Amino acid sequence: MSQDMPEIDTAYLRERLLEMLAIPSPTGFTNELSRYVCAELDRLGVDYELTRRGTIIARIEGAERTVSRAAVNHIDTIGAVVGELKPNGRLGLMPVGTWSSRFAEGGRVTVFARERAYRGQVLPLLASGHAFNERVDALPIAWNQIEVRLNESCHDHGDLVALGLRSGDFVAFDPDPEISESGYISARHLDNKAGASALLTALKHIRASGRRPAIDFQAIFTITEEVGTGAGSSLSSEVVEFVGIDIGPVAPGQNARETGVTLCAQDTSGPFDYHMVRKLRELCRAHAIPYQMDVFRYYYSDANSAVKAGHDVRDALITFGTDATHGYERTHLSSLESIARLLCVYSDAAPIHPFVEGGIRRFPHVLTGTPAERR
Amino acid sequence: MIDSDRIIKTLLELLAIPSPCGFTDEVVHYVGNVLDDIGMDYDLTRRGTIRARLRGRAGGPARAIVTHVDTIGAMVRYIRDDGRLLVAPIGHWSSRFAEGARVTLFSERGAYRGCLLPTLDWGVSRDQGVERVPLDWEHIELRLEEAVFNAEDVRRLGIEVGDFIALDSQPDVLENGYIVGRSLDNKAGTAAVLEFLRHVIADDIDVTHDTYVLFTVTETTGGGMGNAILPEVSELLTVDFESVKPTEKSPFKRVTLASGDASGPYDYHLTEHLHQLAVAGDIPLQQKYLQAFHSDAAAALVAGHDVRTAVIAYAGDASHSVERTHIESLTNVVRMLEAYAVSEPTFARDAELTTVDRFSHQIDTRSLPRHRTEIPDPASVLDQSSGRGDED
Repeated sequence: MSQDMPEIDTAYLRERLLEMLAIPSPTGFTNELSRYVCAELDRLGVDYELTRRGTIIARIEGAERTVSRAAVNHIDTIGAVVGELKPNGRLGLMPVGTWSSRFAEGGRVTVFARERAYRGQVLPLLASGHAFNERVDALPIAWNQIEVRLNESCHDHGDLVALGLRSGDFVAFDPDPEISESGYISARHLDNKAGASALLTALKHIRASGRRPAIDFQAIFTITEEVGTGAGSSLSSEVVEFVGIDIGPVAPGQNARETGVTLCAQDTSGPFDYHMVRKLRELCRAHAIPYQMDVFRYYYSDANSAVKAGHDVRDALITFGTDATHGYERTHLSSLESIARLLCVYSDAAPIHPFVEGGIRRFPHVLTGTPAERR
Repeated sequence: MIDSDRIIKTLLELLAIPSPCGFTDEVVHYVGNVLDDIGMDYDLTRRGTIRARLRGRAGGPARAIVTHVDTIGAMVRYIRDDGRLLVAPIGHWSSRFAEGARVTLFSERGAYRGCLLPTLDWGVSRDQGVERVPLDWEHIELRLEEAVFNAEDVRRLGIEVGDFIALDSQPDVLENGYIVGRSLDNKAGTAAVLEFLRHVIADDIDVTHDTYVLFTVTETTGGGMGNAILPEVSELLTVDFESVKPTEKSPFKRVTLASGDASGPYDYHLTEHLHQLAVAGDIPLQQKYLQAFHSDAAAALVAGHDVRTAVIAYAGDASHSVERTHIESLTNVVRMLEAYAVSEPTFARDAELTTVDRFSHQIDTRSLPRHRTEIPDPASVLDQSSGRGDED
């Protein structure tokens, strides 16, 4: 830990994480979590704007005010909506976000009808071995092979209508969080409430330090990342650097780990900015923050939506390595601490080539050496 | 005068500069220096998109010509215990074309040479199973031309996951006009656009309207153009590479005018305008819908710019593999660009938002076929055929 930074307040981080996990927020149903984050920013004394759709742009004034950097973190999660009120009194589902129905099976859910919410559980169409024997094992994994059993007395379509249910009602999956003494955190929706807890913790430390960040530091909490449009409309033109905070897949063949910061060099949308990735790596080294590099081949994040929308930002992605992403997720508290620490030291760092005036002479280079001599 | 030798010289210089998408700073410097030489003004976005400007004689709507300078490439994604590297492609291309490619890897501590190979148990069963290695990126490995035999050896060289890998172009320029090599997409187009600029400045060509020339850096991944398109721009003409079918008759000298691509049709009116210019200028051109094609045109629309888009392409072969084009196709692209630059805008009123009475039409009602088929009244047909009408 660098001398100028106190120990990360892990108690604060854990509390924020558990509270945010308690608030359902599938994409499209994020109002309550937006309100929670705003209230927390009020407590931290951080100014913010709220867009009409609920994206939060918090801002800490920097020593230099002409340009700013943004740490971007989504607070929406995967989930589902009611697709069909079925004749058997159960509910068909459509996924919100991209995830496998394999991981929905068994999930305990809350279904939000307009008037009130109901509890239920997601089951395969053939849910009892005693009744269906080996046919249970042969059932395909698909969203049309599962249904919600509501814990209500409902046995036909009419019962569901009487309960006030409609197609399109939001379905939130229970997070079932568990933080072990070893520091492992198991839960659904660590993507990306774990990231949000790390970002809030960083804001708390930046505020508590009394220092001004090098340039304006924005913390943006987006609400539609899981459907690919998160940061399209929320960046102002003075934002020159964009650091996404999100989940990183830990799996065989991946270099990500559940500890330290996993810096992503490339995802499905292409390579992240060369200079930003290397700057963040330098910061990790200089401040003894454990890190590893990785490439995510089946992955999109808010940086993609920002660049596609035409924002001229240098982008990077810092992640907390997590096992079984979009399934039964698990990360380690220490990776979230590392993310928070990196964000703190990043807020103090000078920006990369922020000025485009001066023409080609001031434009950076990428080549650092020459190829091995050929004979 | 359009100088084909100068196109070749520029192209070979561009091909010598590694520029996989995300690693384009050096090629941006090169283009910037060329523009300085020509004496053109330009701006640079943070990410490295260059926006040069040709001043037009009239005000009104501005135009943009866009060419991308980034290419496909690869990135280290995993360092194996035996010292070989797994890679992820940059851009969309098949691992089939990676096999045998000679590459340079750019690490923190300098560059290293290597070769992409199929993953085989080399030295044990090299005569067996070669044909059965699947064609996918999981079965491609990078052999470094260094004495490395485990992951630690590799990391000691400063090599890490996330390092960029550039493919050798290995260009071959033949006397018959064919140009062969990797990464012609879109350095050949860029060489043609630079020749167009040299020609316009050197020969004092009278450009009708302000014409911006954009050199973009993330076409390969569809990443858009940042804020490089200014609001006064109403037309966007993209220059890119297109694979022609080998069965097409003498395709190699012509220019393709694309009617649309995987993202949808391009602008009806601008495309027709270009078609007319080619006819008037006797430029060999073929119009074609490119179903499997993506370009910066779509990225501009996704980013929310209200521009008319069109694409002209030089005739290529085997895109994203060992590519081939022909110098005459490139010179014809330059001729098209010149014809376009001196032409009137597709619609002068595009300088501002229009009103519906000034808005364009696509259908000439006089050209519509008339329905001439009148269906007889069924009752009268039935009555007549059964003779019922006569009973009364």
